Amino acid sequence: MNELTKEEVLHVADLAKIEVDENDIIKYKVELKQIMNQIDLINKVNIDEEEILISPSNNKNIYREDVFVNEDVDILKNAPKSNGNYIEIKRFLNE
Amino acid sequence: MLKPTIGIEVHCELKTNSKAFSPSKNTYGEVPNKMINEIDLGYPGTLPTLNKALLDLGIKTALVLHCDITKEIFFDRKNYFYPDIPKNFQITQNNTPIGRNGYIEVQYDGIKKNIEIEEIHMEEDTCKSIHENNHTLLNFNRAGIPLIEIVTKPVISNEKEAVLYLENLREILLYSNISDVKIEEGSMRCDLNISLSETDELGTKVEIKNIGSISAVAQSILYEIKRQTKLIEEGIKISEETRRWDDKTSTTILMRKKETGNDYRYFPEPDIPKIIIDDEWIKCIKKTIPMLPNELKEKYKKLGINDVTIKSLIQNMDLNILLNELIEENVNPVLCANILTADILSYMNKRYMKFNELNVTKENIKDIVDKLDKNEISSKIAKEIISELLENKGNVQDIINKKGLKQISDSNDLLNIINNVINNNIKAVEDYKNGLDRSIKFLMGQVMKETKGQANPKITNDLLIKELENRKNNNL
Repeated sequence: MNELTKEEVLHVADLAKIEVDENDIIKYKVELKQIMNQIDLINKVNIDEEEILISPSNNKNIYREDVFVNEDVDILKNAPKSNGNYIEIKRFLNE
Repeated sequence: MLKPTIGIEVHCELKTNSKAFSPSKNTYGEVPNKMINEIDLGYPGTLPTLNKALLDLGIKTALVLHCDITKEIFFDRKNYFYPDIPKNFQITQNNTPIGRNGYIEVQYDGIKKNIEIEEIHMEEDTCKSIHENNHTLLNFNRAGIPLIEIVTKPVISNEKEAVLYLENLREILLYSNISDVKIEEGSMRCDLNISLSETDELGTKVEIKNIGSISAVAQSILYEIKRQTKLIEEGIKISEETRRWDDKTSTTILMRKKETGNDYRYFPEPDIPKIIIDDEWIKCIKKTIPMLPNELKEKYKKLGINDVTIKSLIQNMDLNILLNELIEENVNPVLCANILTADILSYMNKRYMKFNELNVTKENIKDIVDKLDKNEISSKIAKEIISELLENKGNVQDIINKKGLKQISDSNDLLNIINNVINNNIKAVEDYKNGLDRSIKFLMGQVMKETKGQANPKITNDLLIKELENRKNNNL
């Protein structure tokens, strides 16, 4: 199969929280499948003998002591909308 | 018959000074959006820095819950788009949870059962969202506070086991100084998974979120069992969904569909290098674990403290620390436990106070218990001294002197008082002669009234009986 199904595209769009129209769906069916094919190639590599690499460096046990620093940054300055000391956004919980 | 199977996930905020991956302050109740920095907000280009206390408390939790500790760990990113986490992923542990295969023992109706723990892992909290009318308010003070998530296997059979598990877990985390486990402030939060099945194979599970108290856990389990039973009996298939507990209606309500499993696209967090935990580190943490509730209960039982007193003692960690310090100083443990639970704890509970906020000091308690133990004061006078101390502070001996509360133990003094009482209560004496033993109690009461409770009860009782017998035998 050379393209994803419409449902798969809609599912990915839903996870990314973006709206897609019919034209987008036709385009993404193919494009996303191409990306998937590349990932499949990576999946074919045999890594049974390899240790999992989580960081390009070999550092181990890097941490800081538990001391707090108060920066007193005014984040409301960067918020599109605020309400008292809160950041206000569109209601996102719908039941 | 349909059998319920329950699993519980608990999130607890850890008692650290700073956040999990940033040096912002870990605190509750401050002005919104003040205890934050660019890392907590997920600004582009920021990097997390791992707090050592998160690892220490993670290891400690694994130890107190009898888990196998994973010696080589890393963190993972859990990806999702939601306003409570603006960097679009939560740093958590998916592949290498700090602890696996633990348990908590619960006891009820004579049954002992180990509630098995699947795994515990460390992660960061999200921001707090408050939903109002058509908007949502965000407070990032909570974002990045270190959490420990404790997940049981699906092994809990009923609401009783669930409540006991949570109560025990709460006590363990509190006593070991891992979390302050305040459910009402959100520093301990519970989610449930419930499924029903007639066979040993598990049924379709329903997740219940947002349960705000341990009693609501019991209620939501009972409600959900009823709801699912009805559906199954009507032949309707249970769908895998997330519901939330609604306190107002005492029901569970369907929530929006959420991402599951693969949708989170977990992958190792590349910005935090691997952590290797060696035996030396574990040994160091072990040394910081104090005596936990189950061991304390055993210890108190051996010292002769009764079950009811033990139960109320365990509810207050401060008093337990105090009691144990005093036991070290050789005070009578039973008398001390009684004073702490009967007089001090009730005062504290009524006023929502901690022991160190009271006027009474540890030395005061020691003095009172020692005097009680040596029969220098009666328990009634002890009560009077404590209530005086609670109101006005002070020194035990001073109060005794000032208020003339010293116990009367001198036989001659007591005999005078007893004879007066007897002469004024001829009827009670006649009753005694006719074999009515309870008149001793009445006469004792009169002596106590006369002496404002200062008469040494043991000596008075002996003298009183002796005097009554004397009158009976000599027909006086």
